Amino acid sequence: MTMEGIPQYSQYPNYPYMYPPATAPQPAADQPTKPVGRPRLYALIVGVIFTILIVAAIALAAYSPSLAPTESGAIPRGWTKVYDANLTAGDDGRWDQSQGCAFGSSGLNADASSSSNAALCAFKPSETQDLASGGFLLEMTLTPAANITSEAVPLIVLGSDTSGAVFVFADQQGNYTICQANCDTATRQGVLESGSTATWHGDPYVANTFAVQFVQQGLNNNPTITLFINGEQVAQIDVSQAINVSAGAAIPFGVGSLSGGAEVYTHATLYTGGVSSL
Amino acid sequence: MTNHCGEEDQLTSRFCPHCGSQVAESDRQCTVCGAQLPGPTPAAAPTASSVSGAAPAAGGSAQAAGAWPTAASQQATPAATYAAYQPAAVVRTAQAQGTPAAAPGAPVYPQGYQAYQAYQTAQTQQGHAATPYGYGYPYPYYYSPYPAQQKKPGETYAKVLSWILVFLCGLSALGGLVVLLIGIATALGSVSALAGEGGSLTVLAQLAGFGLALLLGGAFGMYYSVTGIMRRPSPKFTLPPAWVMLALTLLALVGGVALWHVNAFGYTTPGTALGVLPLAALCGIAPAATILAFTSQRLGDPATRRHVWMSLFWGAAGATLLAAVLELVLGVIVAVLMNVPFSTALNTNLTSGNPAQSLFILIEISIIAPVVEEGLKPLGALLIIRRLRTPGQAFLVGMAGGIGFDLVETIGYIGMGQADWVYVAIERIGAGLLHGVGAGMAALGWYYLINGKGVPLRWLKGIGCGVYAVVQHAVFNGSNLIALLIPGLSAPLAQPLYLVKLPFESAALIFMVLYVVILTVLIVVTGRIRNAKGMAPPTPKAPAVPTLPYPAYLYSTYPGYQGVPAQTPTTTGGSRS
Repeated sequence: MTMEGIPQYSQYPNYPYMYPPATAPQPAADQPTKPVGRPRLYALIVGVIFTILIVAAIALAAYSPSLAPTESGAIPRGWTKVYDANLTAGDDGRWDQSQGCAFGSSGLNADASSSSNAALCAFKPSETQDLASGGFLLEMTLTPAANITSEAVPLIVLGSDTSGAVFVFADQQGNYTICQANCDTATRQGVLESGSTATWHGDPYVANTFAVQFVQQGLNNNPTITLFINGEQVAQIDVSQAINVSAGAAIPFGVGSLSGGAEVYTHATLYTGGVSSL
Repeated sequence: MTNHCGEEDQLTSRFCPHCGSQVAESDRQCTVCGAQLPGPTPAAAPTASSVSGAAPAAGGSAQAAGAWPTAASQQATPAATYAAYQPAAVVRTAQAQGTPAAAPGAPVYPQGYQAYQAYQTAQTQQGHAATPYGYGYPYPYYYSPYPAQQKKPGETYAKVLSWILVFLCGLSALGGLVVLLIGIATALGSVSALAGEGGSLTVLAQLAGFGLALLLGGAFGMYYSVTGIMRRPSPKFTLPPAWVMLALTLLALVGGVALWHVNAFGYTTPGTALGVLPLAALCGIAPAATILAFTSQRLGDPATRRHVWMSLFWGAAGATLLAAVLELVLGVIVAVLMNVPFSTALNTNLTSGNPAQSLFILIEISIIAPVVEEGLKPLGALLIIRRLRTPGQAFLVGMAGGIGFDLVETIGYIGMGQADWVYVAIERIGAGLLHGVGAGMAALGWYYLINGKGVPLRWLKGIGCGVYAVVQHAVFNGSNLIALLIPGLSAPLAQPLYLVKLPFESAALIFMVLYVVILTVLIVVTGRIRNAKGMAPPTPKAPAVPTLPYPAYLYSTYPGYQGVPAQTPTTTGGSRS
C-alpha cells in the first residue's frame, strides 16, 4: 500500500490525508462534450437542411424568369419586324457613320474612347420616316466586352434637338441610366432613371442584348420608354418631360457610345407599329 | 498518488483527473471532457483493516504503537465502514459553528479526519471540532475551513469578455436587421419584389451577405455568450461528412450552370435578383462549408460549437467591416504618398497601363490587403487563445474566422457577375481555402507564441505561421496582376476557357493551381497537428490550506515515518506548499 512517494501505514489509513480539489468541479466549458450519437444527428440535420435549401434555391432560380416581364411579351399585336440585320456582314446603308461610327468585321463600331463627344450612329430610316408615332422597339446585340479594348458603354439615343432627346446607356457592370440630353450622372442632373440589373451578363465573354421600346401613349398616356436587357424588362419610365411629341417633328433614333467608351453592335432588330416596311 | 477520480477514501464521489468534474461511480469516461477514467485501485481503498482492531486507551501515548489497530480480518466497503464510525456529535458541532455545508451542486467533502468513535474524547471545546484522537494533543485542532472555491484561471477575464460580447452582439444583430431592411426596401422600392424588373444582384448580394452576417452573428453571439456565462458546456462542432458537403456543392454549381445555359441560349431570361440570390449565395456557402467540414473532420472535430461559430461570425461581420475601413484608409495614405490620384484608391482596374497605378494596385492588393485581412480574421481565435488547448483547436477556430470572412466576400463577388454569377462562383470555389487556411495558420502562429511554452522552435513556428498566411494571400492576390505584366503570358490568358458553353477567363487557371497548392498545405498541416499534444489545462493557485491536518512533528514520532514529500499532487493538478 504505497502511493507515489508517500509512505502508507496500515494503522493510519487516512494518512496522508489528501484534500479535496480546491476548485469545485465545474463543467469545462472549453472542452467539447461528447454526447454519444448527437453529433451525428446534428450533422444529419445540417445536411438535410442544406440539401433542402439547395434544391429549393434551384427551383426558385428556374422559376423566377417566368415572373419577370419580358421583351417578347411587350411587342403588341400588329407590330411588324421591319429591320433585322447582321451588322457583322458589313454596311447596309442604314446607319449614319459621320459621327464616330464605322463598320468593321466585328460589326458596327461606335468608338468614343478618345473623344470628348459621344459617338452617334443614327438609324437613317428614322430620320426620313415617322417610325415613332406608332411606337417601335429597337433591339441591339452587343459584342462581348472582352472584344473591346476600352470600357464598353452601349447607348441608344431617341429624339432630336427640336423634340428633345433621351439617352439610354449602360456600363460593363450592368448599371444603366436613362437621362435627358446634357445630363450629368455625377450630380444626377437630368437623370430620369438609373439602377443596376441582374439580367446583365457580367462575364466579359458573353454577349448582351440591349433594347428600348418607345410608345407615345404609355404610362399615364404619356410617351414612355421601356428598357429591356437580355430580353427582360429592366425599367419603364414616362419621358414626357424629356421628349415633346406634340411638336409634330419626326423622332429619330440611333445607337452609339458615350465619351470615353466604345461599343460594337453585331445585330439589330426593329419592330414598329407605324409602318410595315422601311 | 491518491487517485482523485473516485478513490477519495471517505467519499463515494469520483472526480475526473482531467477536468476535475464530478462523475458517477459507474462512469468509465468523463461525461464532461470525455477523458478515460481510471478504474478503482483496491490498493488505495480503505478496508476494514484500517479501522478495526483494538483501540488504544483514550489519552494513550503516541508511542503506544502496539496498541494501534492491527490488520483485521473483515472486509467492508469504505462507505459502509465509515458510516458506522461517523461521529454525529462532531458533525453537528462543526456545522453549528458555521462550517460551510456543501452547497448544492458542489461535492461533499469530509472535513479533516473522520472521527474514530473509539478515540472520541470529551475534549470537544467550545467553538472547535473535537479532536478525534485522544493521544494528548493539547491544543484544539482547527479544522481547516472548507477551501473557498477558487475561480479557474482566466474565468473573470472570460466572464467580462462574454458580457462585452453580449452587448456587441446585440448591437450587431440590430445593425444586421437594419441592413436587411434597407436591402428589402431597396428591392421593393425599385422593383415589385420577386415579379419586378430584375433588381441588382450586386447590391442585394452584398446587403444580404453582410446583413445576414451581422444578424446571425449577433444572434448566435448573444446565445453563445450567455451560455458561456452560465458555464453551460458547448458540444462538439460537427458538420456532415466532407464528401456530403462536396456533393451538395456540386449539386448547387451544376444547377447554376444548367440554368445559365438555359438562360444564355434564350430559352428563358436570366431571372430576377431575388429569385437567383438564394442559389447564388448557396454556391458561395457550400464550398466554404465543405472546406470547414473537411478540416474539422481531419482534425478529429477538436473544437466546440461555441468557439467555431463565434469565430466564424467574427470573421463574417467584424473582420470584413474593419478590413474594408482599414484597407480604404491605408490605400488612400499610400496613394497620397505615391502621388497617385485619390480616385485610384477605389479603383482596382488592372489594365490601366499606367506603371505608377499598377504599382499602387500591386501594393494595395498584395501588401495592404493581406496584412490587414490576415491580421483581422484570426482575432476571434486570438481572443480565446488561452482557452484553446491544442494546435488543432487553434487552427480550426482560426480557420472558421477565415471562412466567415470568405462567405461575405465571396457572396459579394458572386453578385457582381449578375446574370453570370455562376462563373464567379466557380472561379472562387477555393476562396475558402485561401481565407480559411490563412486565418488558420495565423491562429496557429498565435497559439505557438502564446500557449506554446515548451514547444521546440516555438517562436520560429509562431512567426513562420503568421508570415506564411500573409505571403500566401499576397501571392494569390498578386498572381493575376503579375501574370498580366509578364510578356507573352497576357495574350494566352486573355483567351477564354469553356465549361460546356460557359466561358471563363484563362487567368482562372492560376487561381485553380493556387487552390491546389493551398489544399496541399492544408492536408500537410492538419496531418501534422491533428495528433499534436496540447497544453495542459490551467492549474489554479494552490489553496492556502495546511499540507497536513496535524503538525508534522507529531507524525515524526510515528514509527516508520519517512517524511512527506513537500509537494503532493492535487486533484486539480496544482501543488500545495
